[in-house]
Amino acid sequence: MALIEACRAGFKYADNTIFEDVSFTVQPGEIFCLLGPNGCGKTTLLDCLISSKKLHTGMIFLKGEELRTLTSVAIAKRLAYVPQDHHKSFPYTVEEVVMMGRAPFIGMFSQPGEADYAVVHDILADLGLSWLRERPYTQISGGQLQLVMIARALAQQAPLLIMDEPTSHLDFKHEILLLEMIARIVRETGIAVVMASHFPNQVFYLKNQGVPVRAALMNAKTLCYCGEPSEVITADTLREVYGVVTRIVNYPGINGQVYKYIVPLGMSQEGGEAI
Amino acid sequence: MNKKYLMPGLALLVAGSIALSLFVGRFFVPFELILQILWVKITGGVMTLPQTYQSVILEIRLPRALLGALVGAALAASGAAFQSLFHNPLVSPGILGVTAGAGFGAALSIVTFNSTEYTYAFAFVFGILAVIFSYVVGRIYDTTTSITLVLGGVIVSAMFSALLSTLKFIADPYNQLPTIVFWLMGSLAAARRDVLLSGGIPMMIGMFGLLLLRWRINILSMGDKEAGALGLNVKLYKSLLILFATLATAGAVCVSGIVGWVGLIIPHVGRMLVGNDNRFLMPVSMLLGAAFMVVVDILARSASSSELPLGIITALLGGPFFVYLLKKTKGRNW
Repeated sequence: MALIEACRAGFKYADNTIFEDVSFTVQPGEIFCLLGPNGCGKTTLLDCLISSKKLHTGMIFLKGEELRTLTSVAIAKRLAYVPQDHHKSFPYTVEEVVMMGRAPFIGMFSQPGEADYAVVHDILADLGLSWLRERPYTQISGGQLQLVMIARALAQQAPLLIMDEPTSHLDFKHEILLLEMIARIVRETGIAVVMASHFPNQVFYLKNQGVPVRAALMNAKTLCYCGEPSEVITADTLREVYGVVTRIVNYPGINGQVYKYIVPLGMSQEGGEAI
Repeated sequence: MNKKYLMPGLALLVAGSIALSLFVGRFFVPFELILQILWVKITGGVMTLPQTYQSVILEIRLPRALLGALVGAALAASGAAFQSLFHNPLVSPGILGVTAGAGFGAALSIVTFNSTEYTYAFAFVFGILAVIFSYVVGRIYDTTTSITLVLGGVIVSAMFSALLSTLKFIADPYNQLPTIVFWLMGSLAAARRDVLLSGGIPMMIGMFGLLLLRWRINILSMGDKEAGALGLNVKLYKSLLILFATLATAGAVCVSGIVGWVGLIIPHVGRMLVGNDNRFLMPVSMLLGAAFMVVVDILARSASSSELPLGIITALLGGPFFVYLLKKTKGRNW
């Protein structure tokens, strides 16, 4: 059964339509990459998926149940969210932050128990964060913080992770590290990932990691292309959506595979739409 | 700091400060007599000692110390809770207008009835009303965002302050005005058993609720969007937190007047001892607040020939201490 099924979803602020007629599905064990220019509504769409914002039209089903009929706890057991910009308030320890992911399993007036600690410690160990356990999470690097946020989401043990531009604050090394981590999580646990991204190349990179990847291009307030990365991300679609002239090159990867890479050549002259 | 020993240690500190307060005061009661009174009371024997001594210890000093402990604990707990809710370490329990409302209520009863008989009820009711107003203002959007709630609190506080000024302006300057002013500066002088009961019940309910919610309060401090994604019914828990913190604060304010600083500073001392996890911070803040308040009250009633208002001592002690804390924790990511 599809983890997410969006049917003709639409959202607007007063008269300002952000997106409309968006339909897609996400299956277990795949990475669904949401691409599109700044302000095209990717983040709003993700906010609707986690029920932080309410759709104006259409419906979203999580494992066959309509989002609006589900409680916060039921939603949190179906999907976990990794924010783009986490606003740090108090210097909680890394362990305390990751423990918050256990909330859907802990009763209203209860506290985390030993089983919850075991889950949290396993996840921290798996992501290589055990040594940061007692560290205030306000004093770790951006890359580590992103991993902590992923760890917190994993602690929810949901079959789906929603990530909003997970690499946006990361350096070159940590970007690659994080993408490999995401691919590994998907490969080893069968969890599905929906991620918004600004970098079409990341889609090919994930594909090269050998996990099922699908891409969706968002533009003109809707999902205009959705499917296999090599079909969705082409020189034509990139020119249409971003106004950038590109060449997509094939290069030989390890063990005989052919990898794809997008080389930007410059802004498109036609169309005239600057920035 | 070893958390295992900290909690019993702090509990001992509270018990010690309450015990100390029985022995300190302007009315002289011989040391061995106090022990005797306590011994007889505990063992349930027949009291043969002078009635005056008994009532000073059992009817005045003991209820007062207990009330002080409750007030300190309640203010510290709601301070810690509100700081987490608003993700801001500089928030105090009065943020949603409860103190401003209570101050107005107390003044209203003093001016209307020309006595302090109904001060508790009026302070309590108007304190709660002020928070309800703030909450309604904060709900301009469908959800209560932190910023609209704080704005609501600021607006409501300002209006109740203005109303309070109006009452001060029309109050009889020889009788009512000083009563209002002294009430506003905070005091535990009115502590008797019945006061302990009427203020104690809302404080205990509030603190009990905050203790039950304490781990969830961590999650609320992550902000509405993330707390919601973590499976919290944000609206429900926010309302519960506000309800319990307001009960605790209103209960404290209606019996002690406005005692500032405790709710702001004590949670920070707690953070320095046990960190920010409200599972530990909440009980530790309560114990610290209780001990602090009892000690402050001992100073208030014994430092000079006439009783000093509590608000003066907490601010004079609390101000410099807060500066010290700010200096010390500036390396943290506030």
